[in-house]
Amino acid sequence: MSEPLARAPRNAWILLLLISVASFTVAEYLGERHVAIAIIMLIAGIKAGIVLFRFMDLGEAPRGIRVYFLLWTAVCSGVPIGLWWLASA
Amino acid sequence: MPPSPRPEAHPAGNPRRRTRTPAIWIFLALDCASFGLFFQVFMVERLDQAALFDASARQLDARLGFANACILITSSWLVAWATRTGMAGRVAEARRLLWTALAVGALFGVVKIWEYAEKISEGITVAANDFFVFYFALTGLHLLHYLAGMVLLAILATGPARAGDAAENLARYKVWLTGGGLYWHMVDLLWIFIFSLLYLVGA
Amino acid sequence: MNPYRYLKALAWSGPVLLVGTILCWGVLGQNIPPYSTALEAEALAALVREQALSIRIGMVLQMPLSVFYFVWGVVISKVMQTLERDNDVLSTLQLWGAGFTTLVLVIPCAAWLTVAYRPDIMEPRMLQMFHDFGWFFFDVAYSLTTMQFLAIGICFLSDEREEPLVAGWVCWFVMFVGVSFALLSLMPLVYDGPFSRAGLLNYWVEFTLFFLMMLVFSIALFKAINKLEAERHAAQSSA
Repeated sequence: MSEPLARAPRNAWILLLLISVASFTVAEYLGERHVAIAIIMLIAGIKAGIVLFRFMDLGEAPRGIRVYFLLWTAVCSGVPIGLWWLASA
Repeated sequence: MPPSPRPEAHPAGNPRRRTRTPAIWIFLALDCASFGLFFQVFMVERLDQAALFDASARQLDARLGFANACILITSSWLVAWATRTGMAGRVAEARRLLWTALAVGALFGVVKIWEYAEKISEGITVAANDFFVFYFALTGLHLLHYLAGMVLLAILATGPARAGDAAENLARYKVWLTGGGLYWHMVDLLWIFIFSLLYLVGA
Repeated sequence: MNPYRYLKALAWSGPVLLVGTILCWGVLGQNIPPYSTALEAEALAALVREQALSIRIGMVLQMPLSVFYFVWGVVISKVMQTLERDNDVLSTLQLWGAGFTTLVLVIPCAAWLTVAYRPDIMEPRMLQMFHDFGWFFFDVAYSLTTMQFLAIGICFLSDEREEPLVAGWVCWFVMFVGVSFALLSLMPLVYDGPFSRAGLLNYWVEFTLFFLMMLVFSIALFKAINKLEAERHAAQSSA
């Protein structure tokens, strides 16, 4: 294992906590629900991306696995936005 | 059974084997796929009863979900840190971090039990309505994953086996550390979406 | 002396059971697709009366066929034993898991057979009760199979070969399928929707996974036996 990996991904952790607060605030206080839902789910996707790349080192995994998890993240955060809008239409 | 010709025992010590991508990624991919499917099924079921789902979601305490998100993120970070120190060979330090991650992770269980107890005392069970079927199914399945992860962390925190060849034990420990760490991050990853979908979207 | 005699021939019990179960239990037994859990007793009775002969034939064939699951399990245990060093606890758990799962493939069929035997004169609620009983035994006793699948996965993952007998991804897949059965616990709590026994998750996803596991592991088992035989030949010719 190369030495840089031994560093703890502390900044990723702080970033995760900060954007968690952001999405919680948006959910509780943003009146325009259409926008709020999109922001909540996009933030969830970004958080997942940070966990995947900074904690799980997805960048070093084989291409197939990398693509799969990127798609998974996109589907899990994107499709619910569409389904929510559809339900409120 | 008669002995089969046994290949030379270089399990985790076999460098070619060790640098291979952990096969646990397959398990993680499948597990994430099934949760991903649950999320979409949840949203599809919501289509016809959005008002009911939103009213039910408001009965959840988003602060508890939020607290648990922060707990898992922190625990996950500690495990990422432990994995990196462990892979660099600093096992004692890695074990301390793992114990800390375990202690932080235990808070998730406390919050979860509290939350379930509160819901049940309010008369809300899995039979309440379709939203709560999903609520208990998703959080319950996640809880099972969490419990398995806690057991894994506890095993990892006790460190490599002491008996036998130290170098081989360390190599084996590193394999387990990588796999166990990846699993624990997935527990965090899934909660990010469960928290957003159940607690925040309907809030 | 050939320690692997009969193994490959017996390993065919897996694919045979897979195809047979889809045909007998599934198609003839009217379980693909299954009757909705939400059906009223009268409606269910009417459907069963209509298909009684087909269900009877399906279940009569499925019950004896199910023994192949146990045969398959014995072959898996024999292959697992070649990897076991200190004790044989994993292959034993696997064997018992396979044996009990065989009963899960037999006893519910007796319940469904009962239902299809005299549906004309059977009280619809009684019919529904036996039909439900069959499904609960079939689905909620999953831990017997989970135990088997976990033992398989853990054992083959401990293989120290450069090219293991069973690939790592197969082991993890098998264990995933075993663990995913936990979802079936929700089945008795709901009457409709994706978690019901005829629903998207607890029927379509879980059963697809089980059949897929049998397919994937059947292939893996043949490969493992071939590898063992090749290693034996190599050892003999070099001796």
